[in-house]
Order: sequence, then structure tokens, then C-alpha cells
Amino acid sequence: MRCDEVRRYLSDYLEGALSAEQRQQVEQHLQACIVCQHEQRMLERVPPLLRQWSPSVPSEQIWAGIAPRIQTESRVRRRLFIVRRTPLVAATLAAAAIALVAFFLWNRPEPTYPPPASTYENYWQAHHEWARNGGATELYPYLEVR
Amino acid sequence: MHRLVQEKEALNTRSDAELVQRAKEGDASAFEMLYARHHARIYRLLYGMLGNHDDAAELTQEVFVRAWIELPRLQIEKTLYGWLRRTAINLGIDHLRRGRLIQFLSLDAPPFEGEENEPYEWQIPDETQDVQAAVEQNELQECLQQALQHLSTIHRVVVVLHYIEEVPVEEIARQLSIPVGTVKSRLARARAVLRRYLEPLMDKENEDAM
Repeated sequence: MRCDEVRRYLSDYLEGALSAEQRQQVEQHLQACIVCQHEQRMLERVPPLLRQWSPSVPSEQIWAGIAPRIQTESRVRRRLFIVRRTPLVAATLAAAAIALVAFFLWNRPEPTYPPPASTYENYWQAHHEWARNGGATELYPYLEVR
Repeated sequence: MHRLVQEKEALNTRSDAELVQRAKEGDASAFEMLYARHHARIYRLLYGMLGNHDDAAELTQEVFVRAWIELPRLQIEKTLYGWLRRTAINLGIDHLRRGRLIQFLSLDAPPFEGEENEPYEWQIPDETQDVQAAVEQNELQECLQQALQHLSTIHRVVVVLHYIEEVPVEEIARQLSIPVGTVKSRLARARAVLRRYLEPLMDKENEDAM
């Protein structure tokens, strides 16, 4: 391979983009040619130089956009924590509701009951007698007695 | 205020793993320390890929907000920077694709030619906040910035990912959805171009060495 050919292939060689045969030819030439060795060294310096690139960074400005969104997220986390506690609250409310209902049930106005079954031949007859006499309407005023 | 300074100094001595653990538990100060340690590299990566400060800043924010949200479910104490970088690259590529600044290839499509003749429009960074450092490194940074500016988008992206962030070629190929051979040939072409623009720096290095 001649110098100008090698020069064309040098960067591909450094990237490992050449075929085995091409690579061998380039390496063979490089062993003997100082000019191309120099060119190889120049190309090899490109990455380390680039790594020194350090543009100015607007650090405060960037953080100013992050901080409020983090706080929001913290608040969301805290809210979730409270939500996990509501089963306890819900249970307390349910217990209170049950107590309230029980209270009202307990304090219902005393209903009138059918007279004891012994007065009649059977319970059902006694019940119908009682119903016909308006007993049911006292207990359930909103119901029609048939 | 003094206690706050002390706390921050104490945090600064902690390892990434410890800070990640604290941040997982909701410690925003620990997370801010992680940001302080890693954001400059992430920003540089994104600025290199996208070529403008506003987009780089916006995506850097996105990377860290996502980190905060995802942290509790991730086992990344030892590999936080790797996660940050992968996320940044994904966001950067999505952004470039949306702006149609990179036409990505399917394996069947022919390789595009001539793109290297279209230099990207760069915003010149505002250096007033870091004047001292800029003055010292002025020549070096100017030269590097100019050199990168002469690359087209796809060449600049692979250069920033591989030469600067040292992402392996195979991983770049995977994330860009292009063949490994394409990545290598883009790198080779970019290196040859950059060698010309960076020559003044190389001569200076020679002088310093003597």
C-alpha cells in the first residue's frame, strides 16, 4: 500500500472498520513509514482532546427547574401515605355508623304485636285478625294492608 | 444557615451509593448532591448532541426529575451515572428525531451521503457566568467548539457519544438503531475532519512537550 492510500484508510483502521486483509496491509506499511506513523499519532490525539471540551453549564438555572417538580413528587408521596391510612378512618366511620343505626333501631317506637296465639286456633289466624284490625298500620303506617 | 452548610459538606463526603439510598427515602438534599456531581457531564452530553443550550437544559432537567421519580424502584446504587446517561441519550435521540434533524435508517435503506456538508446552527454559550475559567481555557475551548460545530448532526452525535462519553460502538448502534459498521465509518470520517480543525492544539501540545 502507498502512503496516500494508507492515509485514506487510517481513520477507518483506527476505528476497526477495515477487513482483516486491509488491516494487515495498513499495519505493514505503518511499520516502515514514519510519515504515516506521525499521521496516525495525530489522529489518535483527537478523542483525548475532545474529552477536554467543557462548555459552560447553567447549573442553577437547571436546578431551578428540577426543585419544584421534586417537591411536588414529595407531596404526592406524602398524600399516598395518608391514603394508606384511610382504612383505619373508614373503619372508625363504619363503627360510628353502625352505632348510630343501632341507637335508632333500639329507640324505635314500640310496635303493637298480635295477641298471644292461645286466643286463636293457630298463629296465622291470630295474625290475620290482628292485621284486619289495623295492627299492621300502626307498625308500618306507609304500607297498605291487604 | 451554618447548620445547612455543615450538612451539605457532610453530604459531599458520602458515596453515590449512600446518597442514592437517602434520595430513595425522600432526602432531597442528598438528591441535590447527586445532581451537583453528575449534571455537568449529562448537560455536556445533551448540549453536544442537540447543539443548543435551551434544549440541553430542558432535557437535563427531565433526566433528573425522572431519576427522582424512578429511584425508589431501581437497584442502581452503583450505576447511577450509567442510568442517567442512558436516559439522557434516549431523550436526546427522541428530541432529534422529532425535529427531523436525524433521518435514521432502517437496515434496508441506503446510507445517506453529503450530510457532512451541512453544519448545524450552534448557539454561542453565554460565558459571562464563568469568565475566569473561560479566559484560562479560552483558546482550547474555542477550538474544540469550532471543531464540533463543523460536523453535521449525525457525525457530532457519534463523536460526542463515543469519543467524549466513551459509549461503546455497539451500544451506540443499538440506541441509534443503525448498524455498527455505519457508526464506525461515521466516526472515522468525523475523526479525519476533526484532525484538521484540532491541528493548532496538537502543535501546541508538541511545543509544551518539548
